[in-house]
Amino acid sequence: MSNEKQLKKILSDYAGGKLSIGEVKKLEQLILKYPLMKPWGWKDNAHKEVMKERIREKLETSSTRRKPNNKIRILITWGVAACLACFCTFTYFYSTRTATIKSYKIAKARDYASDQVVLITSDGKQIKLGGAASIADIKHKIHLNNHANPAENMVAVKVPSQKQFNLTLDDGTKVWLNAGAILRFPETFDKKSERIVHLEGEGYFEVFSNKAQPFKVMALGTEVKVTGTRFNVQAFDDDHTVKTALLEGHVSFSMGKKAYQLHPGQQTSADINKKQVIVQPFDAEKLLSWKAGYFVFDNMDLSEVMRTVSRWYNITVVAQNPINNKKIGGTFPNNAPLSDFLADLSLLSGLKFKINGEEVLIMN
Amino acid sequence: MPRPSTHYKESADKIAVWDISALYEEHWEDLFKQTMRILLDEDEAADVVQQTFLDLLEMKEKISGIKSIKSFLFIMSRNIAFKKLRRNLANTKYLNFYAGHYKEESAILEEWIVFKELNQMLQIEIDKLPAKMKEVFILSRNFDLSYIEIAQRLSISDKTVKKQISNAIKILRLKVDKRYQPLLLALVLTDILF
Repeated sequence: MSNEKQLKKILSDYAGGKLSIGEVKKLEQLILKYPLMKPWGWKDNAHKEVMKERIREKLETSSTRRKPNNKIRILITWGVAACLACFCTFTYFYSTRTATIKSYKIAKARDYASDQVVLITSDGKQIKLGGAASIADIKHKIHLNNHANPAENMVAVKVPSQKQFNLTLDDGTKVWLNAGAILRFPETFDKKSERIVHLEGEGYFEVFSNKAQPFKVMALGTEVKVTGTRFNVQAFDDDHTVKTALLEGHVSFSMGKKAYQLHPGQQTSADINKKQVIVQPFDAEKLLSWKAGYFVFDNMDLSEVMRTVSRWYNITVVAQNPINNKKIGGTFPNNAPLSDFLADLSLLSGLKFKINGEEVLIMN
Repeated sequence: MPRPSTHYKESADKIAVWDISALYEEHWEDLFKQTMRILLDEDEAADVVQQTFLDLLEMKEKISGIKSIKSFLFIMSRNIAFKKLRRNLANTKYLNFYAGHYKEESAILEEWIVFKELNQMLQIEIDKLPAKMKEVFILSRNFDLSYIEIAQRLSISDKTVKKQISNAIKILRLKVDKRYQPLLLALVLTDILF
């Protein structure tokens, strides 16, 4: 049997629960001893800080919003490997949160450390920003606080709820970031290689044309590659979708090995869980209404409407009953208080809404 | 000597009061790095770290008197990560990818083969041990029970259990082929006792 075959056999026995306890322990010990990703490490401090915040946010939203009354839990006994330090072994119960749900969650609020746009520097410092910044402002802010070498430093800009941010990158590319977005980018682009930025949330890009150095937006494992164009990217972790809409020029969207070439007026909608991509037309005015300060809904499902506004107002939305396919149309200014927006929506949909702190309950 | 932790204090009823965010602050990065030695994907690793802290929150009333919250966190996240790995490996693509990679790392297979050979040899010798000693040894080895658990199960003292196991190891060391002895010692210590 070849080495590879032997390894496959061992690993599939491991996956299928066919190894003894001793064998499982040994194999896990070997896996830890010989990690696959040997040179893994943080790319830079911004990478680390973004990850740290991301886990913390998820942690806080899922731990504070758990309903204590929902009791039906499946108990799974889990043998825990013995603790090296104390020589003892304990068995504990691992309870999953598969609870009977009395309410239906439609959207989830996030926790923002700050209600201002912040810049996270490569050494992890957080600096508050106003409504817009050019790379010169950013560099200035960083080097007021820090005297480190600016070359190749990755920094991140994080936009809280009800805020937008307008940014000019080192190469002259303009980026508009919507509420909840995080953009990671280098303070200075490498003059020889591609220009790469990382996006979570929604952003609109006007890329400064430079054929020699393609511009890439990495979003939830997908990639948008351009040389100089205008396009909008929505990368929503909670929806596990990435939508890329092209207004002008040419972009190539790729997920895994497949690439899709877009023409102006087309957008790709990628489901990153199912690994499916749909190419469809879009309405530019509607799509970019967020930049102008409006929500435009054109026969949109109520659940999608609520997810969109939840990102802006940072609210958790729950419904008493599953919301049927109610469609909503209309234009709403996004600078109105949440209560006004819900009052309008109530008139349109015939549903009642109740605000409890950052949670909105749909009384249906 | 255990390092004093500032993040939990033992109250009178032995239920530790934890400051989760301080624990997160202190340990998330090492947990994340440990997980990246098991899984390939940063998103998955992030899920593992998140799940570890959620489980801790969920369980904090049920567990008391834990000696080291740090090792507890590391063991939990390790277990969650390996559980994910097992699920991933059920997928042929993932399995092929892993096997393909480990093929380059010949040490992992070599160590595995030595371990299996020794195990077989040991099994033969274990079968020849005196009945009571064999029972104690198997409970420890195959059922992953602690001395105290074995003692309770067999209604004997934990000192006896300890003695029986150390005697069993002495006997096994003598019996097994001399050339394997240094390896055996390591194997016995790391894989059987702990």
